[in-house]
Order: sequence, then C-alpha cells, then structure tokens
Amino acid sequence: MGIFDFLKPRQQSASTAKNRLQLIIAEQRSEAGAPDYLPRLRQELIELIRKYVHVPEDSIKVSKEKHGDYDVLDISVELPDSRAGVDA
Amino acid sequence: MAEIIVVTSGKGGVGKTTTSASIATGLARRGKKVAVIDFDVGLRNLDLIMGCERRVVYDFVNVVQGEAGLKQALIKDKRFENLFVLAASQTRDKDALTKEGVEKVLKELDGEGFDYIVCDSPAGIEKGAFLAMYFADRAIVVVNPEVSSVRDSDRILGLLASKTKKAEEGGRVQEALLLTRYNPGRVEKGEMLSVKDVEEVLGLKAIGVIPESGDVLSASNKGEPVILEAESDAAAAYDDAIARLLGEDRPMRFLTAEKKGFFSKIFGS
Repeated sequence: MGIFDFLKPRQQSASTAKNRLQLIIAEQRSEAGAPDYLPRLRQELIELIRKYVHVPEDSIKVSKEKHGDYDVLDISVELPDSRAGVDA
Repeated sequence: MAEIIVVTSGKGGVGKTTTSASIATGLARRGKKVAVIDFDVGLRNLDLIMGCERRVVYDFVNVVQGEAGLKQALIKDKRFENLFVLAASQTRDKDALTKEGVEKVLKELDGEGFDYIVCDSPAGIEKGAFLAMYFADRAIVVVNPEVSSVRDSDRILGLLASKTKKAEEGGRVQEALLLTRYNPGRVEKGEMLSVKDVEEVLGLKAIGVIPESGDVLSASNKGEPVILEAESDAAAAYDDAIARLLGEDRPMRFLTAEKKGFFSKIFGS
C-alpha cells in the first residue's frame, strides 16, 4: 500500500472466482444423482456422431431430468455453423 | 431430545475442529449440557484443541466396540462441568466405526440428558464423514471464501440432502454455512469472495462469519477453544453464531475492514 496505488490496475479476482464457481456448481448439481452410465453414454455418442459430422466435445449434453412422473433422457447436440464448416 | 449438530466441510483445514470446539464450549457456557465427539478416527485433534489430550484414557472406538463404558470415555472439561469430550481413536483405522455403533452411542448420550451433541467430522466424503453426518438434525458447513472450499461445500450439501437419516425419512437436515478465515479488507479490494457471494453461489445463508484472526492459532497453542479468548473478534463472532443457532436475531459483525489512518495510507503498512 502506498501513494501510487491508484496507478495499478484494480484486482477483481473475486468476481472471476464467483463466475467460475457458479458454472462448476451448476454442473455438479446437475450431475448429482445422475445414473453412472451417463458419462460413458455421452462418450459413445460423441464417437458415433463424429463419424458423420465433426462436433466439438462440449457440444453434446446428456442429462436425466424429471418431467412430472417421467424420467426423461435429454440429449442435446449442437451442430457447428454450416457456413463456418465450409470456410474451414 | 438431544439435538445432534454435525460440523462438516468436505475440504480439510478450513476450521472444522476449531468450530466444533468453540460451538460446543459456547453452548456449554450458556448452560447447555454438551458432548463433542471427534469422528476423525486415526487422526484425532479435537482433544488438543480442547486442551484435554493428556486425559484421554478411552476413546469413541472403545465405546462403539464395547471395550469401555460411555461414562468412562467421556472427558469432563476443566472449565465447564456440563461439557464433555469424546476423543477419536489414534490407533484404529476408520472402519472401526459402524452406523449401529455410532447410533448406540448417540442414543446413550441422549439418555444421559445431553442437550447438544456436536459431531466433529473428518475431512473428505468417506466413511467417517458419512457417519458424522448420518444422524444429524442440523449441519454447520464450514467454508473458507476460496474456490476449492466452496466447491467441496456444495458436494457436502448434496450428501446432507441425500445420504442422511433425515433425508432417507423424507425430511431434511437443517443446514447453515459458517464462513471462517474471512478477511474484510481483501473482500473490499475485490480479492476475496464476500459472504454474499458465497451465500449466493451455494444458495444457503451463513449463520456466522469468523474473521481471520491470529487468536485462533494462539488459542490452539494453549489448548483453549478460541471462543474463550477475551476481547477477540473471532470469539465474539463465534458467540454471535451460537446466539443465531439458538434462534436469536443478531446482525453480522466484523464484515468491514478497519479504517486505516492517514499515515499508513500514505506510507503503506
């Protein structure tokens, strides 16, 4: 601490910590109580889909959700932008 | 009925034993009959923090396994005659505790007229931690304003909501956060998560905020729970937490940094 402190950029690492925690905890909570086979299922789906179209790892989300009385296996695959695919 | 309070955290070194000792001592100071149990079999520490390490003859495992009676194993505190410590075993491994054995001891304590049973959980999410929380009515989740501690606390909250007797019976363990090692100066500079941040991320209110304090170390050096330190902010903050635990409404203190004087601002400190 000194007279030239105001020249240094303010450290705001606490807000970075909060954002990171909010993401990881949301993920942690959605995984809690999920069946053990979900990660393996997700991995196999990635491999299968990649035979046809190249998608990044994080574009596939697999979760088990409760809709009223039913358990729903929710699989969502985000396909890459087709134009971006042509350009690449 | 005795109320069973588990002090837990997931992560090690955040202040579970310090908190267990101070909560138990503070409740006893208010006239409650209290037992505090060390569930960290193999790595006992509560006896040191309570200052009764030389008086451990029988321990929790001896009682669970029927090698000693409960009364023989309970160590009466030197300061409060209504406060008792049940030490963990130093030599056994953690499989020495069983759900049935723990239940038997808790029931016997209840029969002896204890008002509160404080269970000091080991770190981690293995058997010892599971047994410490299983029979709890309330949980105090000790958390440091730091990413790994907060994440681990969330895991513990998940277990409290699913792997406890209360949860299995369709009820709920009454949970509260207790922040320790809180440094208001760093919070104000944006370098440390605030109480509000932690409460928001975990979706749970804090029952107390203990400021980072040198008194915690000096109290442990002496074998005296920090809540008994005179003129200590940490002691006052623990006492506030106990008042809230007992249903009193007390505003949070020690959340703002002490203002620095003119000279220390100019010349640094």
